[in-house]
Formats: sequence, structure tokens, C-alpha cells
Amino acid sequence: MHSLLITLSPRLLGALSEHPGLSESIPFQLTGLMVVFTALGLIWLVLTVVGQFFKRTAPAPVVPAPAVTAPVPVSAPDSLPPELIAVIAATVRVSLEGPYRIQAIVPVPAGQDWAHEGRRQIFASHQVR
Amino acid sequence: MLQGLLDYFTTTGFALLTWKMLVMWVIAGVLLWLAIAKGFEPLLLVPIAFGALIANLPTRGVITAEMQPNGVYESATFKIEGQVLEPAPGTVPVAGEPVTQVVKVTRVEGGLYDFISQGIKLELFPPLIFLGVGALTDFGPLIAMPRTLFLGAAAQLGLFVTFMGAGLLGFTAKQAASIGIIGGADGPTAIFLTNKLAPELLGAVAVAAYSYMSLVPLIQPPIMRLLTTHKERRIRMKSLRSVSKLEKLIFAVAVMIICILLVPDASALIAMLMFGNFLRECAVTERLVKASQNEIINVLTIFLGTSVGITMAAESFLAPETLKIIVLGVIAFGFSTAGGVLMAKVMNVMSPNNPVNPLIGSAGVSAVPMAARVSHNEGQKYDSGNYLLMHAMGPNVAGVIGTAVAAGYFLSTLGH
Repeated sequence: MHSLLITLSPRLLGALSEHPGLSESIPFQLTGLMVVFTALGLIWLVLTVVGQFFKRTAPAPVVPAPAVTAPVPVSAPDSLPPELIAVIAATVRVSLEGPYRIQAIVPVPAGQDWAHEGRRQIFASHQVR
Repeated sequence: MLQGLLDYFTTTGFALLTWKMLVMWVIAGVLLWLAIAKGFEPLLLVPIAFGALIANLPTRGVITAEMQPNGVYESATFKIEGQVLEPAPGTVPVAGEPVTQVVKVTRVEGGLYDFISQGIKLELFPPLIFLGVGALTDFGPLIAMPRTLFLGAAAQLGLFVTFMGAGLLGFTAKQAASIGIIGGADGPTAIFLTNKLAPELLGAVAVAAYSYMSLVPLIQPPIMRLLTTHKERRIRMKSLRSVSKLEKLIFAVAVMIICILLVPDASALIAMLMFGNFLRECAVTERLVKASQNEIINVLTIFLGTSVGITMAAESFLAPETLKIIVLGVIAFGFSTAGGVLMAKVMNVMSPNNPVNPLIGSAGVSAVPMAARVSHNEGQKYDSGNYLLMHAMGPNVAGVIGTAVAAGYFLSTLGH
């Protein structure tokens, strides 16, 4: 097997010259890129297969029963209770530690909770490198 | 009395100062200014700069370093004195076979960093830092959207393009690979590879790698804008699904097995990265995870940074090669960024119904999490309601794996 590899690819396994020319280095680079793509491609394949399995076996999301009451309109800033506005203002004051002015309080669109939580985690994480 | 004073002066450090050392003081000062005043990667630039300052002082008992006749600047060597006990007790010499001898070590002599720097020379620090990185990294976004792995793979383009560029500038193949790895934007991997292939370039490569990592917010955006249209920058991606604990555990084990089977030379890096991540995700080793995320990585960062800085002695650092490495490093970074962005565009052509925002392609360089933040911030400039951060974390952590695999390729082809 070892000798077969050398036969197939003399530039591998230390056979690349100390100062390779273009004819040597281009195949060397392409081979390297292919190795990287192969490794990550295999991981992609495994993740896709495993992901399909988990998607199928995951419990169905619980659909909340429709509300009996009349739909409530989205709260506009001027319709928010003053206690809630006070809490939001106090949170901004304490967490941002500076003189800030709240110009708008807008409900977060549905479906972005995951992105928000991720953003919070990343910004709070360590800067290690 | 005056003669005595003059004689004493010759024993002080003043007599050993050279103009090159003073130049290195200025360089160390600039690095400290970037870290402290500008906030560029202070956790690493401060130790590196301080180590560089120490390396360019006429110290005693800190590090042993000298220029070898072959032009290689060798540092961190220590002396071992011992007595050879011959024959070794309990062994019978056999003709034609090597004789086993026992050496009784009587004295070990060396400076502080002759010993601490063994952590780099023996390849201990980078894999152990990867343990901490693994414990800090959430691979959830990558698992939820595995196709972003290809962005991380494409962002290794700069490594291989720069390999050719460095060769054209006269570097050897081993040196060219060490310079190319700067494009991976992964400090520990760059140090790991350079120490094995071209230890004489360690200081310059490490400084270039960490400097460019800290300059990601300046280097990447122009390239990202150049290669994308206004419409592409506004692409909103589908929300990521949640990923179960079991999936994350399978991921850690699967990645380790696949990468080690393909590139055994990257085993130390990949194994430690995935071990750290497994500790994190299994949720039953909280104390070990905390140690990996804090104490271990912090202590090693101090030792790694100062050990790298201390290789920046004027005799080895102030050379034309350093300037070439700085230039080649930014080229590597640029091509890696472009590779990720262009791959995203290719993926959009192949899968128009579920497009990716090409801005996240640039996060394939593995400066975690800064490159992902850059993608997010660029996206927000064109659509303030578009949150790309978690999407960008996929290629970002894929880039870590991709760079380690690329380093393994270089090691397996050039390192033996």
C-alpha cells in the first residue's frame, strides 16, 4: 500500500523538492484542497445522515390551542403599560451603564429567538484567540 | 577606582545593547499599543509583545539563544550533565545490538524560558489550547446547517495559494507551508505547524497570524463587498433548527475519527479539540469544562504568548524574510476570505431555493468568533433586521477543523 501511494503520487510523502516549481506546487496545492474538501465533505455526509435521523425521531412540536378570545393587537409603544416601560428603561440603564435614550420599543418578530440567543451567547463568550 | 568602575560597566547589560535591540523595542511598543490602546487581540498580543521585549534585553537566566553557523537561530536549549553508568545494571551486552546505557543526570542548567518554551518545541501548548477552544465552542450552528462545512473548506484557499507565492519568493516548501497557514487565521495551528516545519520562522509567522486575526474587521469587509452584490448581502437565511445533546456528542466523536483517519498528523489538534467539546456537551464534567475554558487555556495562553514573543530576538526577526512573511500573510488572508465568499455564491447557484448569504462565507477563516461577528455586522449594514451571527458561526467553526486538516496535510507531506 505504501509503495502504491508513492507510485501514484510522487509529490506526496516527502517527495516534494525543497524548492518546488509551479509544475510541482500546483498539483500539490490542488491535492491539499481536495484533502480538506474530502475531510469536511465526509463530515457533512455524516451530519446530514445523522441529522435526517434526528429530524424524523424528534418529537413533533406542540401546537398551542387557538385562543378563544379575540386576537390582541400588537402593542404599540404608547399602549404599553407604564410599569413595563419603567422596567425596560431600568434594564437599559443598569446593563448598558450609560446615559441612553429609548427611542422605540418594538416587538421582536417571531422566529428569531434562536438567532438572538446565539448572538447573546457569542458576544458573552470568551475571546480566546 | 575608576578602572574598577569601568570594568564593572563591561559586566552590565548596557555594554551588550545593540541598535537592533532598540528597533525591536519599538516593534514591541507598537504591538503593545495595538493591544492596549486599540484592543486588538490583547490576550495574545500583550504576552507576545512582552516576550519580544524580554528577548531583546541582555538578560541572564531567561533564555539561551545563539545563531548557529548554518544561519539558524536556535533558542531554548538547556544543558544536561550526567554520568554514564556502563554497563547498565541488569543488561548483558549482545554483539551486533545497540548497548543500553543508563545516564545518571547530575545537573540540568538553563534559563526560565529554556524550559517553558519546551511547551512549544515539544508541541504541548497548541493542542492543549485546542482543548480549551473545544470546551468553549458550540458546534450547534454547524450541525444544524452542515453544508456550511464547505465554506470552511473553501476558506482554506489562501493557504494553498500562498504556498505557491512563498515558493516564488524563494522560501523552501516547508517554510512556504508555514507561511501559508497564516491564511487559516488559527494561531495555535500556525504555531503547531511552523514549529514542526520551519521553527526559524516561528516568531514572524505567529506575529503575522495574530496581527492579521486582530485586523479581520479591517481586512475582510472590502473583499466581501467587492465579491457580493447589494442583493446578495440582504439575503435572509432560514432559522436554524435546534440540535440535541446526542447529536453534538456524535458530532465530536465522528469528526475526530474522520479527521484522524484522513490526516493522522493532525491527530493532536483534532483529538484535543473534540475532547474539549465532548466534555462540554456531555454535561456531566462541569468542573473539567470550567478548568479547560478558564484556568488551562489562560495559563497556556500566557506561556504560549511569551514563548512565541521570546523567539523574536533581533538577530532572527530583523530580516528581509519577516517583511515577506507579513506581505504573504495578508495575501493568504485575502484569498481565504475570497474563497469562502465565492463558495457561498457557488452554493447559491446550485441550491437557489435555500440560499446562503455570501457574507457568511468569509467567516470560514477560523478567527473565532471575530470573523463571524464581521459577517454579522456587514449584513446588518444592509439589512438591520438580518441576524447572520449564528449562521456565520457554522463556517467559522468549520474553518477551525479545515485549518487543522490542512496543517495535517502539510505535515504528512512535508514533515517526514
